[in-house]
Amino acid sequence: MKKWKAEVWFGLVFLIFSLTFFIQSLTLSYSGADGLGPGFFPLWLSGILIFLSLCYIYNTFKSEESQSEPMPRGTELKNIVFVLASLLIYLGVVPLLGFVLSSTIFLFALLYRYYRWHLNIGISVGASLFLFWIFAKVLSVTLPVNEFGW
Amino acid sequence: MKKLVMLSLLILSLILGGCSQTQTASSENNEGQANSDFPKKPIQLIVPYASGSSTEMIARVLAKGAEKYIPNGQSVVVVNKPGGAATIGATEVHGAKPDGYTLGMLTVSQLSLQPLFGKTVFTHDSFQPILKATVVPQFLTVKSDAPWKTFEEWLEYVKKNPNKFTYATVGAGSTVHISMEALNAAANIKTKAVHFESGGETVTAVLGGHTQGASLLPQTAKEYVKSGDFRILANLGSYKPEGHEDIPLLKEKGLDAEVDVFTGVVAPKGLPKDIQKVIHDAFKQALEDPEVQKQLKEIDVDPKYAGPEEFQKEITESYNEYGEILKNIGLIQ
Amino acid sequence: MESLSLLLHGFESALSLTNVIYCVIGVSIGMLVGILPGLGPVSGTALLIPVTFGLEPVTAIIMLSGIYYGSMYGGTITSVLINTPGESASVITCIDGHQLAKQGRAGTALGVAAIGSFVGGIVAVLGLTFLGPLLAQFGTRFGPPEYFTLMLLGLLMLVGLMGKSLIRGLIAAIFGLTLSLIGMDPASGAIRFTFGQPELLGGIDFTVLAIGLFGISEILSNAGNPTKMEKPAKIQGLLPKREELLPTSMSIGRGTVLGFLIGLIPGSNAAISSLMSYSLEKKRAKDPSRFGNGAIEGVAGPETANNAHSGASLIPLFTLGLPSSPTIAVILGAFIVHGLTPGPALFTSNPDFIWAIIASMFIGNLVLLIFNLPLAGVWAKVALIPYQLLFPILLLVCCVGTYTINNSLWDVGIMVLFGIIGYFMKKFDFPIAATVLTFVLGAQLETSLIQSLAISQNGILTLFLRPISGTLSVLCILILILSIFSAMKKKRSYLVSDVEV
Repeated sequence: MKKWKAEVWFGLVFLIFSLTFFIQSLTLSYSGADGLGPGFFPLWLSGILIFLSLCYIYNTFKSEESQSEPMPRGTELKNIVFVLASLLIYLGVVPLLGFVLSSTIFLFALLYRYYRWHLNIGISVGASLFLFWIFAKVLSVTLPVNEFGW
Repeated sequence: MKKLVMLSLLILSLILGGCSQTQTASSENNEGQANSDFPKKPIQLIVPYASGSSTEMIARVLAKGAEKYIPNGQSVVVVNKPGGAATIGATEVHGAKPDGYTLGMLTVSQLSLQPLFGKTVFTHDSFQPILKATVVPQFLTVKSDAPWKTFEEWLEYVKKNPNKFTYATVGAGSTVHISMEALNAAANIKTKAVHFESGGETVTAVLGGHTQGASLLPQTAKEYVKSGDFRILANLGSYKPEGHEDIPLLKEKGLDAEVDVFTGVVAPKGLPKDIQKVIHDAFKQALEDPEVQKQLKEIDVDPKYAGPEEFQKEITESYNEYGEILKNIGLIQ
Repeated sequence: MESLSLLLHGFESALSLTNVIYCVIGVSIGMLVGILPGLGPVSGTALLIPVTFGLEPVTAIIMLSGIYYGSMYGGTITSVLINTPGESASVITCIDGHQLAKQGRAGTALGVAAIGSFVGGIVAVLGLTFLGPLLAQFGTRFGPPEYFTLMLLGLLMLVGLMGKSLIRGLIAAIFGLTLSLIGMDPASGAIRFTFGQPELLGGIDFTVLAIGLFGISEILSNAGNPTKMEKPAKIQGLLPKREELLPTSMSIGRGTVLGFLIGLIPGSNAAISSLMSYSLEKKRAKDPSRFGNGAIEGVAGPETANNAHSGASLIPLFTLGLPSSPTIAVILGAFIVHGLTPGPALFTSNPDFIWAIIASMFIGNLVLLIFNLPLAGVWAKVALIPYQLLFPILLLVCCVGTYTINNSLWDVGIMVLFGIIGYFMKKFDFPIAATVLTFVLGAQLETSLIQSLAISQNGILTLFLRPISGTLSVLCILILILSIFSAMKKKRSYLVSDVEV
């Protein structure tokens, strides 16, 4: 019972996605000056996707055994949530602290479990500075920086 | 547990970041009050197109020229902010602080056309225009083996055969599209637009005989005329650029239609008058610089100055005029 | 043999010390740019145009073209090692290339890709040298109807490549097509599915989608599963096994021809070349089931094809002044910056210039080969870096790379979102490559159909009445009938039930 649940949820995500697009495409004109309007492709594609997601959900309900892995849980879930959370916080922090400082903190956080802190600081600072050098100096890309310019 | 520690560390850094931001804001406020020594740091000139675009080249030429005349030896840095159908960069200028350190190099497309579609946060009068810098007309071009030798012959054909003549554009509602639709309205004819996504694609379409014509920038049209592939029938703009005096303007043919592609420097609304003057003067002097004029000629655009008020007037006029055209062809309500 | 003497003259100029140095610099920066996810050939060349301002025009263009083909190769490295395609042409390479890397054969995959790229690149340059103007005419005959049928053919081939389950494959493919509709519709100016976000007006950037679905999802699934982190596969030799030699060289040959022909068409995407080559190889293989589990032909064919393609795409540029890809368009911009007007007259008005660049491409391709054969082994060792150290840095590089596309954090957020979607797609066996490839082809599919109808005097029939598109349409219908027929023969219900295809 537990196994198919995850797949059904994922099928539902596609269903909601396609339903949203389907409803939105009804507001676009279906035919245009030369036959096809901006609504033609969206309507058909999202319509087909609705049908396919329903098939998929039906199938996963029907089939007893599932070849794929179950939803992440336990350590796996924790790890993924941790990585994602760090990533989102990083994105929030970077415009304020600048690239080098926030990247260092980001790397330090992700490496914390595997390396002792002094080694970790070395790696984090080194990698951040190196990337900053490559992107900002060698390739002259504009990176988000703090008021000191890094 | 360790992860928890790390997460809280990250959150702490977020809070720290917040503090440092308030500091930044207050220090910049102080800066805003003392305007006399503007500028104190490099000025950003945002271009809403990618590197290699002609707008970017105009911006680079002007920025380099203006650096000579900007006080305090500060520089003008060109920043490309492409994306969002060239509206992202304009949106950024619109939302920037009106302190003179963020300017935009925008074209008729962002200033008059995009707002008409009603999906942008800015409209034709949401910016503080500084000056109009360059203009360029477009040419109605057909393949050289087309049956029409002159504009009159072509006009006669399209009058007799409505909706038969196809031309390539760089997108619905683009300046290329507008210029042909203006001609359609003025001459009371019907031609059919086929929308592509880039200038290169439109040239391909005409070369391969997939569409019968296109409206092209002088620089592009010139090359293919030289190679014997294309023939230019008319100039859809308001003036004759150097070297193209023999191409008739529509108004010489008794048709009231002219569309130019203009590019100019704008700032966010609310820019203090004294700062506006500093920037305006520097760019105006740059525009009059012979070296800058020579470089602009090389990329086939014509320097054409208009001051802030006049520039705004032109933007508003074209906004209204193009709005009419787009309404007539049903692209907007 | 006039071209030959002109070419030799070109070599004289290209072999000057400055030009060789800048060629090597260009190729190296290109590889660097290709390896950094997010910085593809387009942004790579665009970013470095200002650097070339001070250089002689010839030197500048030599360096920029070096960046172009160097980054095409660099993109392969990331596809193989970390399953993240740097540009659309390398999406297909991920499928078997990364499997090979997992088996410890990253070196082989990279070595074969280097050789294939070299062969494809050189043949394309030879074609440019001797047949350029002749072939260019062929390219312009591709109008909207021809594009449409070519895209359709590509999509049909994709269906043939879908992994275990047709229904998952179709969902993935249609998902990609639907995503490609986001943004301003070029045909009508209508704004679709932007949910009020100005950032979405121009649609989702390919790189954002590819890094999210491939790169971030890979990192998430590995990070989620610590046991996967601790055992890097042992490195095996750089060369293909003896029994693989013949099939591999055949794939390289076929890939060259295919990529070259498709590359001649202005505006055709290199992804089409590599996709068609992959599906051709799979069709020709004795045991097609190896594909997707580390078949060396699945790397050799497409990698050769996309390099032949990018070489051939310079033919319409030099002979007609037509940019055939976004990168080429940037190089075109650089021509103008350096006072050269691109156009059909370029070949005749500046022969020295053009021939020097063509000659430099021989040199550049050779430099790439010399760099990459020994480097393939070095790169393969990247797989030995403990994943716990590698993944945070990769994550960071993906973020920066995505940020640089439009200098926007919004894009990075979208990338993370697609990373999560990709994670689940991977978990539930949805073919990610199908989503990314249909995304690339989708936008062109729609616009070319609408354009076809606009230029047509007899509606949809135009697709069958024009010689090239007619042939392609018939081919599409044949493939469709054949695959339905074979499915019926196998007595498998094709759509409803979830079966192996």
